[in-house]
Amino acid sequence: MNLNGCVARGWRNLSAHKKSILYLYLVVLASASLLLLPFMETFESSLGAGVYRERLVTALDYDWYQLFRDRARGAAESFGPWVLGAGPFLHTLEVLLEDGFGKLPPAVLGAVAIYLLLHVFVLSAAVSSLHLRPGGGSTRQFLRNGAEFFGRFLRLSVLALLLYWCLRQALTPVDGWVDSMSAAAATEVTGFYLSLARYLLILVLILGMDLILDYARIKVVLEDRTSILLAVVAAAGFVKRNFLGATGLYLLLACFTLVWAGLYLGVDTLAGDDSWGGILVLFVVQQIHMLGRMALKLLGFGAQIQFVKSRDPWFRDRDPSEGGPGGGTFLSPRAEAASPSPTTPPAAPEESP
Amino acid sequence: MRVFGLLALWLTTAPLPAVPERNISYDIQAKLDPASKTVEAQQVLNWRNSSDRPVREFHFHLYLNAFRNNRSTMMWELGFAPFWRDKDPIPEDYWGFIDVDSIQVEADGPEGPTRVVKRRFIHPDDDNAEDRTVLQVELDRPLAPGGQVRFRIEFTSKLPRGARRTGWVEDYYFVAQWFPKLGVFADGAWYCHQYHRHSEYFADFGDYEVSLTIPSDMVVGATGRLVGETDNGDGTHTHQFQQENVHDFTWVASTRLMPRTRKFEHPGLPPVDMRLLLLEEHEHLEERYFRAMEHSLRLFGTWFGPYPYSILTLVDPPYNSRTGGMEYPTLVTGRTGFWSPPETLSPEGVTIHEVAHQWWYGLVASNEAEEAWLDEGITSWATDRASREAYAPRVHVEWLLGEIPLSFPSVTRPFETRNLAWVRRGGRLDVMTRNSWSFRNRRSYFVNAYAKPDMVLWTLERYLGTEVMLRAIRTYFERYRYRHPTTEDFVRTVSEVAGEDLDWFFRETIHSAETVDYAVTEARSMAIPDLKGVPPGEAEIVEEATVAENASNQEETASEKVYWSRVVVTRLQGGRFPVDVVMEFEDGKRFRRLWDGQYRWVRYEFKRPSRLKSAVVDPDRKLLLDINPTNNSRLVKPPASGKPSLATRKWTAKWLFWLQNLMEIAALIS
Ligand SMILES: [Zn+2]
Repeated sequence: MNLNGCVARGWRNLSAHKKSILYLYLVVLASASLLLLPFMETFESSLGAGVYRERLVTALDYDWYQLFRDRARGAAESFGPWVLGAGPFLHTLEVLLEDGFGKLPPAVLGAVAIYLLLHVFVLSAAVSSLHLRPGGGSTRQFLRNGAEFFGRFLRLSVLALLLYWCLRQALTPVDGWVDSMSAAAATEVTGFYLSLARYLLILVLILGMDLILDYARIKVVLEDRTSILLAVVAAAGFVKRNFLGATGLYLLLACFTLVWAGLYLGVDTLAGDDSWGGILVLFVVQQIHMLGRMALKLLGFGAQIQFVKSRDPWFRDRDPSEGGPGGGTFLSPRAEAASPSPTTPPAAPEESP
Repeated sequence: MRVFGLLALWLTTAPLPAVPERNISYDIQAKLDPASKTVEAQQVLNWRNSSDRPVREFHFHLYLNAFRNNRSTMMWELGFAPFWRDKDPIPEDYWGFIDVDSIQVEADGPEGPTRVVKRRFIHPDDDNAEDRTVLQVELDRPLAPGGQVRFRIEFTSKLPRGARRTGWVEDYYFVAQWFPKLGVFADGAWYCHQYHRHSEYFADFGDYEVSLTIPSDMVVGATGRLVGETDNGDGTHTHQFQQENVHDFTWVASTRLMPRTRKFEHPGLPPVDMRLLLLEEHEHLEERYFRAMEHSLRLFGTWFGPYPYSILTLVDPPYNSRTGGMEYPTLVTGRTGFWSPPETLSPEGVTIHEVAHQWWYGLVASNEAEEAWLDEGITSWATDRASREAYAPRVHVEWLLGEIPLSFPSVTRPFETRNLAWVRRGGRLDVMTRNSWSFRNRRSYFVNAYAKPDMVLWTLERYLGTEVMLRAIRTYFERYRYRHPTTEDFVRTVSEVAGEDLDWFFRETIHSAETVDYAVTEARSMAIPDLKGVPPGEAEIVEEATVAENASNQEETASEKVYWSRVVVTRLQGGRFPVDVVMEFEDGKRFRRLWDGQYRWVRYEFKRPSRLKSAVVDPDRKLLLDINPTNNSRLVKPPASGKPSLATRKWTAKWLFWLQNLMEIAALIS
């Protein structure tokens, strides 16, 4: 199956799991909303009781902003012109690349931590449902799947954070090298490109890590693996063996996300947002964008699941959507091996644990 | 008041003050040796005693000695931390110094001094015996008033690695504060301060003739005009520069600079040769550099007075030379990065600022060590004005990853309030008029030399009106060009032109360490209820109004409903200024009152057939020094009171989206 086929099948698989998308979206909305009231309170009081209440409707008044920046405490400290236009995408990317999480207000960090925790749960439920219940399932089944895989997904997330930390440590000498090379260079142009190359390297490493961890999650579900370390090793092996396909698929899905963000920017520049209606439209557009992002994320998992199956002979022969054994509740090889089923024993998974 | 009015009239008709006669000239022959990063030179200095007292001691600035070791006064003030922190140990050739190898003296008359009897380093500002930045030379006999003395000085200047506006980087040599420069003799004393961390320079106007011998492959730029060039046949060229009536001489030499020239011409202003020494990596910024120079020469020439020299050289310095953004007579340095789209206003902002210094430092040469605000402050205000004229609106730019400019076209930054936040953050640390090394800290120096005077002058302009303000500043310029005015001279001139005694204004600004914040702290309105209880009877008793003006606030009305409205305006901080207060009613009527701002608060009350809608203090924002404009107005009934405003909802939605994106990006690493 080619990549397009994987995406198409992933899409078909996903269409039975619209609820998963909604749950993922609700998690990001709810987590962010935790800070809504304190933020609004700070913001409202910063406007005073006079003309700035009106003035701020049309544009971000710079005098007001400087005052706000000096006085705001808590979550509102993270407010700035970067909430405008492409800022939400680029500024947050900057936070990631510069490892600027530590500079965020604790309240924001707390909300992010809560999000990550909830997200891991919903993601574990969603990804496992994609595989185990290709035809969809009830919310109760969804939650049960989540409960089953949450521990393993959580350990994978902790491992990811650990890997990120190690990556940062490993790059410290690179930072020092870039700084000293830049300082020694005759023009600022050298430093610029070195610095850009460093950030590009960080981005590639982070995306590579994310790619492998995606497959590790899939392996955990597909092969019912209990050891996350071995799952990561297996995923890395899989990506290595199917390098072009795996990265190609990943990049294809990343492109979808970029196009989706581009669409949002187009709408954002067109939409007027200085009336009640305009603001409502803006909010709805933003939330549709986030919903779409969640759909794309699950589409990614769906497509990657198909990709793993298409590259694994054992899965290739018994795709449940083609009416293979298991009929809807597709068991993992390990689970199937353990069950007293009369069918032929499965081929060994590609890497024996 | 009448005296000031008459003075103002006289000022507008008075002829321009004559250019004062110079009493000093320098003739210097210097040779740059790139290998040792030194300049060997002979200097002939002529000085005439234009004072009414005999002079036997002479004070020279030897400012390169600030870079001599980590014990100079400048290094003490930097916490012994020199600039080259990435180097440990600091390489030998990073330090800089100036050694006076010999001084001979001769006088014109038979009674004059004949030799130097004593040379010693003095430290008039502190007790740092290790500072070598001021040299005192004592002669055998005093020089009588009107007498002329000639010093023949041989010296060697070793340039530091680029730091504090001077030095070398690779093959770029920026040579500033490099020769023994005499202090200013006035009122029977020498004004010759040590080199401090924050202070800049002060010297007398004189005529310079300087010959620079440098390797032939280097491009040279210097104060003044190139009047001759000789090929010495040994791989060096000698360039002769000449300039009358300036108070410093600075030069640059490098193989990396590319010379570009253009002519500035504008009706009513003298032509100026603009010379740009540009780095290759900034070649695409040539046009913008020149345009910024043109804007500056045109606007400042029109506002303050023509630029009197025939040449202006702008140096585009390497990013790591630490010589960017500096002014010297007829030579300034810009500063920019290779990726600087127009909305970053780089190099324009720095260029305009440094060219403005040609007026406020170059021509009106106040004492930068003692009253830095007079040059940096006026220059900041002039920069804002010119930038607004040439480049408004200014768009907000964020530097992504510290490298990539990302502009936000919907967020504009007003030039007038560019420095307001700094006044808010540091406006209560010091007054503006202090020696530049006496400010509480670095921030306070910046606030009081740049930010606060900038806002003070904007406030003054709004108070006086643009026309009077420009006339006042122009008069100050005309009266004090080629001179050394003080804060007092400035205050007196502005008052005279304005035709009113502005002492109160300057007392609250220049001489005050208070910030300013006026606020409408109360604004309410209610219907006067129907009479209950015992009627007052036939005789009417009129209560005395709280505030005298309230008498005029009561209107006879045939309407049944009468509303009682009350507004309280409070001065939340120390600064006292008269302010306008405007009260608007629902029937569209507006009442404007002037409050002198002296007491803590003022109350206005109205009985009118209409409800009060809003109250605003300083509605025209004349008082730009007001550190918090958001409390200057109050709506009696905020729209949808109790619920978040439309603005809050809008920006919350946007921020929420940013936060959701942040969460999603964090999910990438977990
Ligand atoms: Zn300046």
